[in-house]
Amino acid sequence: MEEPEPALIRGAAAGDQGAFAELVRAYQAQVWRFLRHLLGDPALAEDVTQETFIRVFLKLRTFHFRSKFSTWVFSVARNAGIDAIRSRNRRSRLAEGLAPLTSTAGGPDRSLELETAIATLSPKLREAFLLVEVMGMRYHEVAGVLKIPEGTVKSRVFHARSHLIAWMRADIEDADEM
Amino acid sequence: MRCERVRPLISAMVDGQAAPGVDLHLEGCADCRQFLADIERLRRAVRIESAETLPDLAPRILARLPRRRPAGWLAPAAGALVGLVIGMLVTGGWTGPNPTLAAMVPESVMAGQSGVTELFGSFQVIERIRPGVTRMYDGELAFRSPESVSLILTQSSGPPGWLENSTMLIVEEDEALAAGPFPCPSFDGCEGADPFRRLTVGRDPFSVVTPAPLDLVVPVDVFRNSSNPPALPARVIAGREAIGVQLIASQTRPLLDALFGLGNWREIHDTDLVHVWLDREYLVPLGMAVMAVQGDDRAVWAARRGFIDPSSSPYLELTYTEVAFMGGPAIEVKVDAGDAAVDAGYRPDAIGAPPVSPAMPIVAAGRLEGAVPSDVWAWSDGRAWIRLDRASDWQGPGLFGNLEGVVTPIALPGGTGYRAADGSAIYIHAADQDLVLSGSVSYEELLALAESLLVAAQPVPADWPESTAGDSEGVDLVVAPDLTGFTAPITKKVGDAVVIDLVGSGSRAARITQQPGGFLRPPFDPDARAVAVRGTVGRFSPSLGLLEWAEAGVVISVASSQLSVTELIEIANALERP
Repeated sequence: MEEPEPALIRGAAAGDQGAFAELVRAYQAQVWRFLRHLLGDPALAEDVTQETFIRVFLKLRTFHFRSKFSTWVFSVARNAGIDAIRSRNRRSRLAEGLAPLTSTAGGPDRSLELETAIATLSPKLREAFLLVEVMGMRYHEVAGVLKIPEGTVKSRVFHARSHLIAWMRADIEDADEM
Repeated sequence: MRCERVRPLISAMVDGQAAPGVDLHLEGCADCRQFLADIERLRRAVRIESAETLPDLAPRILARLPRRRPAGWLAPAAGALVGLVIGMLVTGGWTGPNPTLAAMVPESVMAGQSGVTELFGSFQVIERIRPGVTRMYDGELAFRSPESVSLILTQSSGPPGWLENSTMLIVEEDEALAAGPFPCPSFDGCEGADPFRRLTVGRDPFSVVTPAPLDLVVPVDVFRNSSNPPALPARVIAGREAIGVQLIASQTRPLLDALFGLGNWREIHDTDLVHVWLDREYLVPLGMAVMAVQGDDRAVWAARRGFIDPSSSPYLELTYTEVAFMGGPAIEVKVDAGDAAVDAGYRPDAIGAPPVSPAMPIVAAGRLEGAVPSDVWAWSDGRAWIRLDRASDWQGPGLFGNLEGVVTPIALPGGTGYRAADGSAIYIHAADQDLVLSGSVSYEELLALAESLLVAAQPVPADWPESTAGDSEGVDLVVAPDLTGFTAPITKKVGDAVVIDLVGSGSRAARITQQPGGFLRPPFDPDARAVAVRGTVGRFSPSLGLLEWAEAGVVISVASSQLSVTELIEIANALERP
């Protein structure tokens, strides 16, 4: 992901809504994709994407160019996502990690099952996996977003993949049996 | 190597990490080759997932942002007024408030701004944060027309151990220097953090991104849209007669931001009272006092921040000790060897004659580089200024130069233009150019200039946020006609949201948004509280000026930075089915 011009970030921090809109447009698709998988619900992901950028706007003056801007935006998005999960869990009392699937937008049955599989990952594994697999981030960037050591990122991605692959294989076996 | 040791390395290898020995293992292990193939299949499956499209959320996000002018910082300018004859004093008659004079203040400020060409003075600021915790400052302000300002605040006393809150802002037309303490979220933290210095070059004239604190010279942006402010007893400050008026903080933000934009100052609540005393002759603010008001919202806001502000005495005060309207030091941006400059992209240039001719001297003409380059002309007379921007390649979406969001369509001889909510700018979209006419002058003056433009001003395309096309279809609620205080509402659809903009007298504006949804998402304002609205429980977030509730499958919000929660609820109650 290309870093935005520092002047754009400073302009947005100073209140220039045109500059801020440019930043939103540069990152909204990736943030939504990440949240969509993290939350397992495209409509909720849209809401939390909006909330993420509102938080970004309110906190922009505290961004001091010590990390990549994309890393910072994703950590805001990830925190907003985790807050939404906790809030939803409090309301619905579902086991942590299970997302009610509200969308059957297009896609083959296969995609619904992959979503379910991703939803059954614990949030810690899910977020590391999504940042690497969906956002294409390197391990050291993910370490920056999640504030964990690189070795932990590597381990969580591996465990997420093992879990999802086992799920995919069981899926195939079931299909074969039918 | 055993497969259990290799598998994590395979996973890391797929992500571009070094994985020695893995290739060798894979040559001889079908199971691990299968694992690698599975990882790649998983990757493809996830990537296909990710190809869904998302509508552009930017307009909806912008609609929900707190609406506030950018708080920039000004450069010092010094000027002095050549001796004007001091008006006749009414001897013995200055004991009480003078409502007649107070009522004339807004008009006098707008008309009199060209009368200040130089200013030089010293003042004191007292900042009361908590009982027993007070900071004091010595301040100096200098101004010289068209746009040189120097504002220096030096802390003279305060609690030990806190970062020194001294600030400096110097604008010398196209250069500016801002310096101050590290922006610290708490008063007693950030020990050892370095202060900041920001040098701007290529600054565009009368920039809104790095504005000069001109409201400290003559508070045009404060009084532009206020009428009949309550009068206060007059005072004599720094040997000058000063008229007093009472305002509230949300109206006074341009002046407060001019003084407190840099540095770690205590916060001011939007509903707090601000008493301003203006020099009777030049309308320069010579005194200011901010006082707390009573109210539940305010009490909660204060408690969360540890403020205990009595209503009877000011918690922020500014008082001039000396002032002169001529003379003063030169205003210069002095660059240190280590300063790195940020280039705002403006260069004086021979761009040709401007398409309008204001009745004031032209002071700047040049090109502003940015996402879209534009021509800029600026005129000035004393503290008054007018600016015209013209872009030839603006593609939108959104009106070129529109930072404030809420605009009203207006009729121009050449078609349709758009007026900013506070009347400080007119935006014009034409086939081959986009224009912004802005300034410190009254809206009527800007309108006269806009009307003199020979441009075919078109309505904006339907997909721009300011568009009023395609409205009223599938609208859930509309504003009842008996809601007073606002002009005809402007309705538009933004994706699946319906947005209604209300523009009122002064710069009162509110935005009503209706989106499908069953319940409110978690709040982002720690001061958010439940309120009863339209027979249901809604939520008011004071720091966003946002009232939200859900009814009949729609989430509705009313947002405004100027209106109180009571007024927002009044608007909410005025919504009805068509």
